Amino acid sequence: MARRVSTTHKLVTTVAAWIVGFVIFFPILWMMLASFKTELEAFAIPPSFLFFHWTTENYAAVQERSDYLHHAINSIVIAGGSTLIALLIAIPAAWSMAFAPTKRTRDVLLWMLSTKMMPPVGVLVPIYLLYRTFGLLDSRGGLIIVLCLGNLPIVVWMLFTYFKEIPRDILEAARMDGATVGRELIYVLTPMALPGIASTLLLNVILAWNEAFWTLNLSTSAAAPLTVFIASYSSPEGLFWAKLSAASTLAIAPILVLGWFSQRQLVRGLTFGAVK
Amino acid sequence: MGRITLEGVRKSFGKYAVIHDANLDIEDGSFVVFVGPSGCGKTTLLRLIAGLEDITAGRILIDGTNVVGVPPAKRGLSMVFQSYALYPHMSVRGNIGFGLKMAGLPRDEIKRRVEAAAATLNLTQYLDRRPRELSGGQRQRVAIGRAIVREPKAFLFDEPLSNLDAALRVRRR
Repeated sequence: MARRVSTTHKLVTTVAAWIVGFVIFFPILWMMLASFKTELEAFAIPPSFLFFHWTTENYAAVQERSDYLHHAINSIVIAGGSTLIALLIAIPAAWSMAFAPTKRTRDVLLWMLSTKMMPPVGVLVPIYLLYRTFGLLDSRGGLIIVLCLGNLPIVVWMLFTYFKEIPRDILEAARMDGATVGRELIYVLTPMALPGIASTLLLNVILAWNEAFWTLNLSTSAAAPLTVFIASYSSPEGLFWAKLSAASTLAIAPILVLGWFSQRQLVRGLTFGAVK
Repeated sequence: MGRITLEGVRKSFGKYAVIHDANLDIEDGSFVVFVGPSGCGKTTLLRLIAGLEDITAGRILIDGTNVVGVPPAKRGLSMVFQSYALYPHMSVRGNIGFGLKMAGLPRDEIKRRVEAAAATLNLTQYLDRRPRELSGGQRQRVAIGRAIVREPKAFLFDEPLSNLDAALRVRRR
């Protein structure tokens, strides 16, 4: 861990990292800037970067529609609901796979992950028809079900890798100390697995929030989350770049804030499995 | 108090037999050491006595009662693991007192016993530290403290000295 790194090396890598980060962030930055331009400026060629007439008229126009809140609440309910239900199913499943594995466990895990490899469009028609029959179209419950099941493989897999990290002898020490299975769960396993569960939860809230395919196809107005809100700005009358940008910025704002405050957990969640 | 007897103990992992018919009688208060080449089954035997593995055949008696099938929590034994297996999310105080908490002792009694054990092991100034902030020798003392504070019928030590340097090892012996 104590490799001698020269200052030039550190400088070069830092600058390079900042450049890469900026390039990746640039589209979002551009979009945020566009949201403050007038419609005319947004279309201008050559495009202006910072020196234009800043205006909040787009945000006012978006607010006029007065259904941002409705869509935002739908997004929160659907993202949160599907993640929580997925966790409820996945925690016992990952537990049994990590601590009571059988010969079949690996096969089950790989099969589960393989369902994620199929493009969702392949099952769009059957699911649409099913939902129509059961009256689940344009319902929050319906969207929660499809998002929960869609993300379940990832949740189970992530929790499985976290539970496997917990050293067996610490749990055995708890047993020697007189803990029953339930108390072992509460006092030892859960506190040790909590960072892992938190990372999984955050990552899945983000995945569910961004899910556009199912939400666009299975909802129209009542259960429509923010993805539909953004899409509604691409109308046949043409693309209203500035207003679209404003709507998009508002749509991603909550999740950007969440991601910012939990970035350490997220990075840990995404890289932890790779280390061991 | 603390008499352990093994009668015809056998342990197999699938087809592979590790312990073949072990018979042992350990008097209360005596000190027994299992030595042997690696892979001969020393740790397995210890874990069978502790209750962390299920026995294939035979009986294990603690003070005359057959404890086969009894969970480790109820056998009244304490074990110090080779890796110490300290609870990383608890302080030294929490680690040592965990067993007493599980036994349902009142808070001040736990505090008293933990502090007494810490004093014996020279751990008093580390009581509020986490295991990751301790050296190997200190962690070993915490593991021992955790074992002695419950006043068990017998102690089981699994390769307790292998993680320490030579000088410390000789002193502990």
